[in-house]
Amino acid sequence: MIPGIRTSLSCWGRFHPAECRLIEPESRMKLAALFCDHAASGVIARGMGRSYGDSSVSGEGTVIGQTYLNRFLSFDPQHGIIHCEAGVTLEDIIKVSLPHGWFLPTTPGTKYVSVGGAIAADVHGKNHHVDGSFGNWVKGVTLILADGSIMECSPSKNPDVFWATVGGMGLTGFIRDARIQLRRVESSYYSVRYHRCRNLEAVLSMLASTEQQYRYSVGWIDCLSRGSGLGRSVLMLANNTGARALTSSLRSDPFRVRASARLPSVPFDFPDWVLNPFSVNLFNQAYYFKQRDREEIVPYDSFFYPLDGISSWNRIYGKRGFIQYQALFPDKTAQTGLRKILETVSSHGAASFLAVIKRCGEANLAPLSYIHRGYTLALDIPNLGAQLMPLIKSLDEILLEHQGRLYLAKDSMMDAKTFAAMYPRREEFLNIKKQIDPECFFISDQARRVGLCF
Amino acid sequence: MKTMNLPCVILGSLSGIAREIADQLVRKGTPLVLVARSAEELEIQASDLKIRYGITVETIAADASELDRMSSLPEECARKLKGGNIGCVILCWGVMYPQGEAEKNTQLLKQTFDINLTSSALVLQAFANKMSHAGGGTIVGISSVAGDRGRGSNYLYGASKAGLSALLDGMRHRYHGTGVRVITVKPGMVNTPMTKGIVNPSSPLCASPIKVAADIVRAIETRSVQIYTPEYWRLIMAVIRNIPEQLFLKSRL
Repeated sequence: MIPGIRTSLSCWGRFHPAECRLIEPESRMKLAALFCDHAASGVIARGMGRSYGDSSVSGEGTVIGQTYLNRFLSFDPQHGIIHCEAGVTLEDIIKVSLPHGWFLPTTPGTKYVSVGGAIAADVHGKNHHVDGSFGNWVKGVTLILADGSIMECSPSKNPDVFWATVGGMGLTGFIRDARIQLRRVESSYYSVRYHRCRNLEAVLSMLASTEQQYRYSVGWIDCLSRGSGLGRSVLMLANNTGARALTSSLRSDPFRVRASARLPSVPFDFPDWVLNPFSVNLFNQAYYFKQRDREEIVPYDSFFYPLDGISSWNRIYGKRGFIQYQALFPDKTAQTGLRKILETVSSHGAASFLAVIKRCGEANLAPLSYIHRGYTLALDIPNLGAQLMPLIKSLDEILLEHQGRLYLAKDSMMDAKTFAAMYPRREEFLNIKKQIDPECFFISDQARRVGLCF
Repeated sequence: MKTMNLPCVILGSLSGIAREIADQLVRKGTPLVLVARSAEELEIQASDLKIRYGITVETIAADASELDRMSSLPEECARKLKGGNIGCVILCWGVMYPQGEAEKNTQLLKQTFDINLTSSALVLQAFANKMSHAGGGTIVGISSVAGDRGRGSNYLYGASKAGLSALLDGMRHRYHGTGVRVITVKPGMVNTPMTKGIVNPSSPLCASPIKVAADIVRAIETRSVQIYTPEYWRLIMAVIRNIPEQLFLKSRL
């Protein structure tokens, strides 16, 4: 038996800790040995543990940590193709590629996620309406299947398995390494237009009408404003800054990689009462009125990763933890659906400190990929104890009524019935999984909960 | 300071601490020869360093258990460097098995001494000979606080490291004044693949390999002869060494 340590693991929301056996192989040989180890069962890979719920934990099972499998294998600065092991983080890629004028094709709001996790969750960013999700930019992955065999897959080779792996939450196999197509950039800066919108209608129409003009768009939304101001937001619309638009001091080093400006980390769990509707409302008022409509050139770090500066920011929710609720609505139901979600959240007094609205473009081929055309709203909801479940249930009902769906990387509470209704291609995914993993070797607590197993 | 511009050999370059040392030295522009067991892993390590820092490193696949090969390793390194001088050698390989397993399994017991002590003596003596002939160099050995006093919970590993510490102390004495410098490194608990399942990584005393590697690189740059890393282990071990035997026997360390 491979030595592992028994430990309690949870993800970023710290909501579902589970006792797991954690193994962190430091070589390909040790990794391969895991698949011949009869003691290993209920296996799931874990990168940076930045999904929110229980995607990378497996209670009474085995978690394979990618801590040491984080090495670059090749980089072609001519064509911007990077080949690396799955434990490499997006931050590592930026450090390597940006000085050569290449940036991530798309990125979530933190750079502390692994490449394996980015593929498994098919993450998206502020440019989904133009560039699609992370999986669209994967040229190929090397997958270790349940029987220990190695399968190369890409959009042209074993495409079924490839697309099941994109967004497949690590349930098709262990992603050992991947090749990613990066994006050419002219600088490491972004020209951001800040625009205040007074209510939800204004936000949606602004996001839709500017989607050709701006590659990146996102709105910070005040969840506590009600009535005619419901959904009031500050939009950030941006494009990569051309070298000529930079001031002369920035132009001397246009591809500067910023040493992560580390603000002090959150040193302890905040008491539960710190974030309450009153304090959040105070913050939101101050934030909204502080913003003016303006344009600014900002470094990539402050545009894409505003929260990365504060390590362990999840501790502001205290020991109780929190959940993320990310709802996606198609165009035709977005307005009513989003309105109902916002009303329900604020009527429960569930102050969401961070709420973000984004425009989404076309879906890709992956059966479990989350995003399709529409709008997505992401909310933080503190663990309210007994009130949490009824609130989530009523939000789920609103989603189902409006053909909406939830994001697996953020989900903590969805049940199997709800999942099946939201993801009509679930069967198709399971059929592919049955062929390559008939004994359900790869499984997570989330997969057990939402029924991505057999 | 000068040492850092000359090539450095890392023995056991895939170990948790060595990976970080390699990273930190490459960032300082030190040319490296990496020695480790697996050719495949070495190739990955070399490509990773090349891509991250733009620097090409040399590699030699060699297993510490090939005892006959140890004395020729300095020559192999010199050939990789086209005859250039070796500025520094850092011995990072080592094995640690849970005490209970090593007590019952003679293979594991023998390996503990073969790798941690015999191969280390063979290879470091060969480097010392070569360096004193060349007129200088730095020898760094990663020993352990476990070698400072035999304890019931880890004395087989501890004894092999006590031997290594004595070897390094004696070497320092022997080559004093010849330009060959010898540094003894005694890490405490470190979160690495070797200690997985034995050392509790969430213990406040457990250090990261990044911290330990930084201490080692600083020791090479300064005039240190013996370091504990993190430094507080110097105090902890001073206390443990001085507990009277009768009292010590009643403890569970």
